[in-house]
Amino acid sequence: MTVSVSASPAEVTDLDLVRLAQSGDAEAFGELVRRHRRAVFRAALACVRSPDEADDVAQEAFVAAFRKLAAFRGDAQFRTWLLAITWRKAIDRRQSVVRWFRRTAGPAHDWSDEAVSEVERLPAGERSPEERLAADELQRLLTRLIGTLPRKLRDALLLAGTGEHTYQEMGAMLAVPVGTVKWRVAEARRLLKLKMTALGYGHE
Amino acid sequence: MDEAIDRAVRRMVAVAPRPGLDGRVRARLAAAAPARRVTGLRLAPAVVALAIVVLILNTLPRERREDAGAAAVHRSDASAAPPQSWTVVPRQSQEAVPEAEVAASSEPPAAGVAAARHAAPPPHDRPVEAAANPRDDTAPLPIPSPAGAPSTGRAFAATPRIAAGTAVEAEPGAAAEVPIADAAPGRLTITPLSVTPLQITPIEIAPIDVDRHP
Repeated sequence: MTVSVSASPAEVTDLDLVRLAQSGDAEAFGELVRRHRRAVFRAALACVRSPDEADDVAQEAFVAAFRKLAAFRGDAQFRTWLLAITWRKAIDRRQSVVRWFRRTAGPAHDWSDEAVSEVERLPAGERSPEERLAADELQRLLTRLIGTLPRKLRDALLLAGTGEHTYQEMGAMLAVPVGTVKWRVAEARRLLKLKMTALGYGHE
Repeated sequence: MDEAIDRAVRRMVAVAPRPGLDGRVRARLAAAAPARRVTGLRLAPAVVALAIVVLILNTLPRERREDAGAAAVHRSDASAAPPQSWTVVPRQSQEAVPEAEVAASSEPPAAGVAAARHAAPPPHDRPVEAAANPRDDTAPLPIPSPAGAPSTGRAFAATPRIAAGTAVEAEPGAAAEVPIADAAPGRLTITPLSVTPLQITPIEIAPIDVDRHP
């Protein structure tokens, strides 16, 4: 193989990088990490719902992928394979007793106070203070309602909300057909709207 | 409503990873490699111990390793074993001899007794426990098969007086009428103590209670 990572990294495909990494090129695997770190992190975050734990899960997923890299034959996309590993690691983390104890004994995680990506923040100049206050209140309420959704529906909704994963990738992660993923996302939205309506926040 | 939901969801999951994730992954990979080497080193003493045990087993004398196996063969099917060579080692005491084995026999000597043949005990044989009986007897020494069947004709080869260190050929477990000392012939049971396929091995012969013979 004549592919070189340093020569033209943008033109090198994932499969090329995988082949290089399988032959012992550590830099090639580093490039794979750089390419997919955000998708991996957000997939983990959709599952464990804590940025610190998601960072930890992402590291574990990359390490596991590196160890299993020799078994990767290229039948599927590397990214899909990596995301499936990530989701399994995240599920393990979510189900771990230690994490349950930490969440139970420690302070609850407040999503509204998270340092969310700046691009997702509402432009403050276009709204009045009352409107911003109402919008923040609505966001907090929706965050709580999303937390009350059934786990399968919530996972699909949050994965779709990352904007990083296709339905095929989500189906591979959740081990369900694409149609099931779409139905779960739609059902999660329907339930959220029902709850919001019941709370007087608008009509369908 | 849809827009509010989308915004809330994005706010929950559209978070950028902290900078340096690839560096942390690299550090984890670097830390994992020595851990695997240490795991391999931890197994090294067990591998060395196993190698020592195998080495010891291989350097043991062959006869000692085969003793146990031969005894098992004798216990399982003594009559089916082919005739082999034995070295007679008289026992000093007769207390352990069963009554049936030392009962006097009036049967005439069986035909087909093989010619006497002397053989020196092999160097690995255990030491002779007693000196040869000084008393003499020249009667032949037939050895019927254990089940009372006729002798095979190649069952026995010994001097008229079974002396310590004498080599005999007999089927394992065969009984022999052996004239010893001044008494009439008595029935002895040849009981092989061990069997080796290539060399003569020591056996024990139950001594005759000469007082019981007429």
